[in-house]
Amino acid sequence: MFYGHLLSFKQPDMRILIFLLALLQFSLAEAQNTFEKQGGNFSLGMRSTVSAFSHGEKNVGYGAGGQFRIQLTDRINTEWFLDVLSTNIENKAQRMDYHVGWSVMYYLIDPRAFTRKVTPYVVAGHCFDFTKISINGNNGDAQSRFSSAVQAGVGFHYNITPKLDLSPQVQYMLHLGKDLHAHVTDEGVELEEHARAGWEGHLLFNLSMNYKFAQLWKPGKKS
Amino acid sequence: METRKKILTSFLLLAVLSVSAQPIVENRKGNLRTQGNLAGGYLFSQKAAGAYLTGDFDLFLDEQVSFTGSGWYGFKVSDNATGLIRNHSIFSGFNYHPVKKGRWDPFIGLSPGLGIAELKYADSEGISQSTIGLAPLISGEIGCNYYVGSVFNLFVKARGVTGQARGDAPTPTRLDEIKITAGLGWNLRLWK
Repeated sequence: MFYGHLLSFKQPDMRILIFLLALLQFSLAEAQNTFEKQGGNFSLGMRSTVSAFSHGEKNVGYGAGGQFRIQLTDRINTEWFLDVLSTNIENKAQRMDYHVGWSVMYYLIDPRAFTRKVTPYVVAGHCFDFTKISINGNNGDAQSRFSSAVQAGVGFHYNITPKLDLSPQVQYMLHLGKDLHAHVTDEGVELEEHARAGWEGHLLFNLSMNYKFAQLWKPGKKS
Repeated sequence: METRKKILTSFLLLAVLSVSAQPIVENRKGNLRTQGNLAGGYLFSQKAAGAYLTGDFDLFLDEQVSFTGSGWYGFKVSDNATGLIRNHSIFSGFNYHPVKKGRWDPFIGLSPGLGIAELKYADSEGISQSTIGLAPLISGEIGCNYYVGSVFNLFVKARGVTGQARGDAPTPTRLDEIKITAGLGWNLRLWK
């Protein structure tokens, strides 16, 4: 009865069946490639940052910092960072940004214990920041403010070895709370503070190198 | 004269062969490579040479990865009344060593840092003021070690740096530079 039904398949149905069988075989082959679970990985890294613009001003900032990562599952990692950025505002003022925060990274493909050369991810998180803008000159005016920010972006690990990765990342950081910026005119510079930051922030390009030092807990092998 | 030349050549050959015959660091993991040295640099914006007292280390976490750190004490850059007077810096990061074993050990790495620059400038009264400018620095390095034996290594490395320092000066000072150092380093086994 069943075979008879199978034989009565029309040509398009047969193609679907063959496709499903191929998919099943591929899935079985995938399942045979078992990798150690990655939850518990602890990494340390150093980062270099370029801020493409700050609060709508076309000024480039340079930064340095560090981070550690604690991986929760194969696909989810967390990053805890600290960095400092210095931005020259049209040779008339200087902006310093200090960030301390955290992000969650979600790997878009199975990292396979980072044996793949490239692991793309999306990232989002929160940070606290301190900003100080000082007008150039010995007795220049200066203003500062504490606030917090949210950031989100994309990046990828280039896994040089399964333990060492080079990670380019681009994120948009949106400051919450008051906005502090330098208003540059032909007459000079004025520091302005506005109640709402609006949608302006930094576009941050990070390049970091990270090493997995230890696995803090053992989640067991994949079955 | 001919005999002397032969003897000298023989000694030279013996020295080269004996260096090659010395055992080298077989497993890099747990090895600390360190050095202290004089170094030179070229500051692109200032179009001036820099001279440094430098020290650095590579702590091998595995056969191909080392945690690295370095400090650079800058001697006087120029005798100009204003501008960059001294340029100190520290860096930290990781180096990747693509060749796992052998005497030759090329490496490349990313190691951001912090610059401490002494700047002088003239204000409206024409007085030269001095200030210290702190600057985050973007930096990477490339180089090669040659393990002479289990204790010594020869090395050459170049570091590219970009950043800017200001302090209280009216305009920021670029710290774009290439630093080069070479010499004799030490290997120290910290763990097996």
